[in-house]
Amino acid sequence: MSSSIPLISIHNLSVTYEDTDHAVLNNINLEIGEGELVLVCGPTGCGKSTLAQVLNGLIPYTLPATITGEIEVCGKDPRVTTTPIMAREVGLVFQDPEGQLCTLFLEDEIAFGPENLMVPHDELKKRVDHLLDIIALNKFRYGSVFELSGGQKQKVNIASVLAMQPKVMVFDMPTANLDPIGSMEVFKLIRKLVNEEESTCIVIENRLDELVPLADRIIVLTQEGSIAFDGTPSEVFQHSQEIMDGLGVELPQVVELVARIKEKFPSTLEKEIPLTIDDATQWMRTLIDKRKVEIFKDIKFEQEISISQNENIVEVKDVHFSYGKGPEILKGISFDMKKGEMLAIVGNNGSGKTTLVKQLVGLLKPTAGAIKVCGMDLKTSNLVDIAARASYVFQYPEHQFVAQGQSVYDEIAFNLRTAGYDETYVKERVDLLIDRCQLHGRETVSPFMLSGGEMRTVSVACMLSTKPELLILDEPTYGQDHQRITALMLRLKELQKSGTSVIMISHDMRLVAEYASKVLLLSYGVVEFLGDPKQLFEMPELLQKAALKEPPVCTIVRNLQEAGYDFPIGIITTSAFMNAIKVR
Amino acid sequence: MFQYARIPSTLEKFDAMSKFFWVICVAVLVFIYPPEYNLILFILLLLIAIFLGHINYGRLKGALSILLALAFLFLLGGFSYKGEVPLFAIGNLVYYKEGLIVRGASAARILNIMLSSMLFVWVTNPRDFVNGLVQLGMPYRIAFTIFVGLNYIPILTNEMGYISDAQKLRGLRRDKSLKGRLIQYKTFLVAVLLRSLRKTQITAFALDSKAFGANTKRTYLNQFHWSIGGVSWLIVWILLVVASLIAGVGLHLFTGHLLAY
Repeated sequence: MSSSIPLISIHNLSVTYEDTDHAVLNNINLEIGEGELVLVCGPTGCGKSTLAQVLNGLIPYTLPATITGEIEVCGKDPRVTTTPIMAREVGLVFQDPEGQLCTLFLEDEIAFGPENLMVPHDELKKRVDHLLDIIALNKFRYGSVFELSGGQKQKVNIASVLAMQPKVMVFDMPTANLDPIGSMEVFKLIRKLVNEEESTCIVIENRLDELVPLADRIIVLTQEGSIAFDGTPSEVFQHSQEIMDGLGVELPQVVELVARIKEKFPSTLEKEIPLTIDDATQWMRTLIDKRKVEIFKDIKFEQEISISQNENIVEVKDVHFSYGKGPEILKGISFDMKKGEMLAIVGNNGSGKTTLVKQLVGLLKPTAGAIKVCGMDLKTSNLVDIAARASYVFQYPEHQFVAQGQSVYDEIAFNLRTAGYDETYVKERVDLLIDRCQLHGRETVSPFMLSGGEMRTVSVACMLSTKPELLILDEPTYGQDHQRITALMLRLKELQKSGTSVIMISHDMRLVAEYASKVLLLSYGVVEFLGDPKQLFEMPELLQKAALKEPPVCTIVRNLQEAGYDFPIGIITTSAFMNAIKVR
Repeated sequence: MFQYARIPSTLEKFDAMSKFFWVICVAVLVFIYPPEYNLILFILLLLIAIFLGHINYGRLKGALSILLALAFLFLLGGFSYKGEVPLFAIGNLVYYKEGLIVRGASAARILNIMLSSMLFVWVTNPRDFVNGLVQLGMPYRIAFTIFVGLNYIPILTNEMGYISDAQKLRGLRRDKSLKGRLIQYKTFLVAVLLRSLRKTQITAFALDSKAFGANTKRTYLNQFHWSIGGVSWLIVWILLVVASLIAGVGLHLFTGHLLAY
């Protein structure tokens, strides 16, 4: 598969953890060459992270596992080479932005790896200066890494690995915490490294929109940990339907759009699948010009869920907040949310989104202003009373596991038991949630032992147990695969239909476009927009200011409109796009 | 409370090792001085904290409340000391003057050692301290173990905050009975322990992945340097220790007090 000398050679590799009887990775065969940018994707629990940890020797050096087959990375066998020695060759950025920090201050964190590799002082300084410029965190150079936002921490982690200048760099979901523009910057940086330094980069990622046009090659893993597809993006996405439906991987929106048109009209597709927005726009223009596709100007956007016009579930009036004597994080926030709405809160890293929702559940008190949630004035309400009606799902699921880590069952039952329900009701409710959240077979497992995606599912199930009137989710799709995201969002839609109001913080603009009935854009503590997502995605300057990016389909539609094609406004999803065209 | 405060001050500018040896000087002085001198030393340390360390009222108040609670516990231990001059009694328990002197002396010593150590932590960048230890010959793996330990304080503090928030949000009301509170406390501690173990594992992965321990030596972005101010400060305190030793041991000015209690 590789175009040059292989830096990584893997033959018949299988990995089985000590406490399990089934292999996480199954008979993997691949070669990765110098200067390749390889994207690895696949459903939750398919062994993506395991593959990353095998490459730098963490498995089996630190994490015991049985490895069969052959593996060679930069001429070394990671099975018999310690991780600190492998670190000269392979740099690894993990998912958890906080846990992988090794020092207290930003410049020290970036310098830590190269210091261990005995890089001379002057060179160290040069690398740190350069990387601080790249990640644009120079002003925090001497600050504590623990005072940075999640996204900023992850940028520091990436810089700390880049500073070691390894031959192979592995990024395990590196942008899970970054805003869309931040993600794009990271991906472009990775591409630059590949182009200019001839580094080999392996990126494990499930958000494919930005990365696919930059990747040389894509490897798709199956749930059983074997390779389903391995090839150039164009080759791999010939199997779009199978990847999306069979393997649960979310397709890039451009590819999804093409696949859906292909479904209706197979002969429209040429050999090369359009992968970029520009290519897709050009492809659409050709189809329209050749009259293979007709545009419907008047399409109806149906509101399937009725939203109360009178009853407010949340009322926020001129809320200000700062941590201690620090700078103001929220600067006069005011908004109302109607009962039954699904409100998406979006904004750049550090814009105050999490701080705002923590005010809504009473975890933080505003320094000025007033908040009413479910009719309760939060100034005078008890936190436990608020929690009974408004549930908050934390950004990092393990932050809310409190039932002594006994089992998934106990964790979901915790809220019900503390609320005093009898065990018969608890069992009935927990069984229902386990069923709906597809957690069968995991009931007795400690929640801390689950994969990232499963942990998120359990954290949501926990907070649904008491049937809250308002459910607040902080980055609900973080670390989840497409199938789980779809299942979760459908569940939220069901809840919304039954009257539950939902607030979600998200950097995933496709998700916002698909599911939110209203969107609030927060930028540096100020509400910059509150309204229909369709209107927001018509304002590219505002999105740019808030480090956000419209879904690719919006850009394609705008490009077509600017080229004189009579496309209706308000198309922000693939489904809406398909409704606006007729394939002849 | 127990972290580097990063407040610009005279003490903060001094090099880490001079300040570390200053803490050792204070620890020697408390054993030379009698209780009344230790109280003067305590006041001196407070003044140093305020004027040379720019430690704010909130931090100092927090530290003093811990130190005074500790001093009270020490003084409480005076009940176990049988003397000749009774001061007061609670039921059958008599508190003697000798108990007060012995426990008071211990309390004063502990307070000074703790206050100077806290002051050291507040005004010293832990990285500079670790780099200094390595420069003085300590193997960097051991020095960094201390550093990672210090690094863990903010992580653990954050973790405890998250768990506390999570418990509140998941409807856990504070139990009024002692038994109930103990069970809740156990739940909290187990959650903290599990989460800490998980975080430790990730940190261990990150340390390995960043080549920690790959070489017997390493380089430093911020190399350790002795500062003129720090060394001058240390010399003054070494002279004070020498003078106090001469006064106490040589001239017997503190006769009857040196290590008497």
